[in-house]
Amino acid sequence: MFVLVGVSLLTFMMTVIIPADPAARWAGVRATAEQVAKARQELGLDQPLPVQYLRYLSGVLRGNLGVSVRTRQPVMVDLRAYLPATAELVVVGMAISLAIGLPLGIWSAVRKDTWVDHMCRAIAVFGVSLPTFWLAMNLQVLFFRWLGWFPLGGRLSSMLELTTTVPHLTGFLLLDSLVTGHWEVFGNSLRHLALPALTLAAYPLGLVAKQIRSSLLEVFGEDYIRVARAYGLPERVVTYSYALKNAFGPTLTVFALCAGYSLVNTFLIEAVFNWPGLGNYTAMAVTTGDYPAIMGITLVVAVMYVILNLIVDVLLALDPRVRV
Amino acid sequence: MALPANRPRPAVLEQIRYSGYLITKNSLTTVGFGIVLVLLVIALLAPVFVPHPEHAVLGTTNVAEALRPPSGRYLFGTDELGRDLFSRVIYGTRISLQIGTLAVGLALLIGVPLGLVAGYLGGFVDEVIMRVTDIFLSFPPLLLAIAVAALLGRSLTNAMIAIAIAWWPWYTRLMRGTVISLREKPFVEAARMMGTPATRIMVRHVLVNSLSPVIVQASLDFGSVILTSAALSFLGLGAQPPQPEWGLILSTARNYFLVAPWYSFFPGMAMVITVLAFNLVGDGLREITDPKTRRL
Repeated sequence: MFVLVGVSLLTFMMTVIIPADPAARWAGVRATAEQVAKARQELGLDQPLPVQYLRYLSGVLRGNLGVSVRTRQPVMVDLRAYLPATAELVVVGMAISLAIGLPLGIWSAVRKDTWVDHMCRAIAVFGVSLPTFWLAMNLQVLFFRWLGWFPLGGRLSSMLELTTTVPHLTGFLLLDSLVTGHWEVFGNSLRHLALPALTLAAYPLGLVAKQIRSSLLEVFGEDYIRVARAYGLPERVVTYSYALKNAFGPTLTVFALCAGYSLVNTFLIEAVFNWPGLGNYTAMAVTTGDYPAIMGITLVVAVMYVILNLIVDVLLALDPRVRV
Repeated sequence: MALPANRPRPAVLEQIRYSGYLITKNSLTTVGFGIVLVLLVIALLAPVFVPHPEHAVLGTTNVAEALRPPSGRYLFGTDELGRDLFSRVIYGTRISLQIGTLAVGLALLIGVPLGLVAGYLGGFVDEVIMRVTDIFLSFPPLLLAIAVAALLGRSLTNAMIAIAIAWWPWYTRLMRGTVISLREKPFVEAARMMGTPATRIMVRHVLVNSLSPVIVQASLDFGSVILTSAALSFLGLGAQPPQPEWGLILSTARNYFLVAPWYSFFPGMAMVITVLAFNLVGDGLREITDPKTRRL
């Protein structure tokens, strides 16, 4: 709770100390001094700072993040329109990173110091060192230009986008088209999702693999594992039913950190793949100097990040060894 | 093998020898250090061996030679304005190392003293500093950097400031933890009993003994800072044309890379090598300084 108030305070302070005058921006380039003064009054900028902050906070609590200077719509409305596309990307990307990263890390730990281990560790280091947007561009060259397997960008082919309408249920295009039985849209959007999701998965994949490897190795050194092995239990049972359970904790923390990181990473990925999500919205807000939008995004993403970390803390607390 | 430390030698020389011995123990770390050294030399000597320095530092263009593939004349090909990409990428090394040094340095300059004070004094001061730190830590660093850079306005300097603002809390937290574990050590108590002033104890006794984890972290962060600054430039928030910054080159390459793959390939490769090298060095340093993983 304290942290959330702090986050809102920090975002508010950032809007206060910016060099540009929001009132002048609101009134437009050709506004007279009078119009600017009127805008200042309308926006409540003539009030003392604590009053401004309280007004801002009460607005935020009611879901009012201010009005975008660029689209002239409430920031909240814009966010709601753009968020599902980003969420879809993050969920699929993180799922891919788990699906590849976990087995990779486990395999690497079981075969410690063999070529398998070295290869897995190399993949992990590379995943963390690759500039996201560069990886995205290389995938485009490889899979679009040379192999022609996947489309260049966007969420749907423009042909499909114009001819079919999928009912807007959740905003997750994959889910909506699946539930309503629009198979063509489903397949098409899956193909569009492939490259951005793969790009997104690269970074968390490396970290997850690295973490599960080192936790597993640590657990392998414990007495109960030695006992299990001494009893002659098959190595598979020792690894999967005994060791893995206790190695998950730290990996979960790393995973949550990665999810927060990925949420911001989509900003870059969306720019390359022209994915109509939060990142594209942010990029446009950044280029046009749309401060309310930037601050709204910052606040919303930070809050999501805080909540994510909270969930992880709660999940970890379920482990009796952590409980105080 | 007998440790070199067993033989009497001047202390400083001995330390350098010993560090060298530890570093060369792990081959990956050695490779990382080697690459970093080469990058430093490249950055320092860029004007000497670059064929077209005017393409990198000035806004000189040569449109007649636009988008040429790599050849003997243009090692990495040319960009849409006919500038030699090899020269630009090499000069980019300078900018990236500079950004890394300045941004990490600035973050250290803010974070380390705060952590030192919070950890050593404790109590109310600690409480205030750590709560502020918590707030900054509840933003994903890249997000905070983007927001601050967007608010400060577009320039490389502002991008560096933004990165430092996003990074300092990590050092404060790390520093505080180390300082707290040192605070009750006998040598600090002894200094206190001799009546040494608190500021002197903090700087002469506590600070110098708690720097190694911070240095390890800083070397690990060097890579992520370079990536972040490239990301900011890519979004138009960092370096501005015609600066040969890798992220910015990649950003303009976006319009041409499907017909001219070399345009995006080489600057990206330079970035990967640099970041990888710093990650290897950081990992190696961590292994060396952590007694649990140190292999003698």
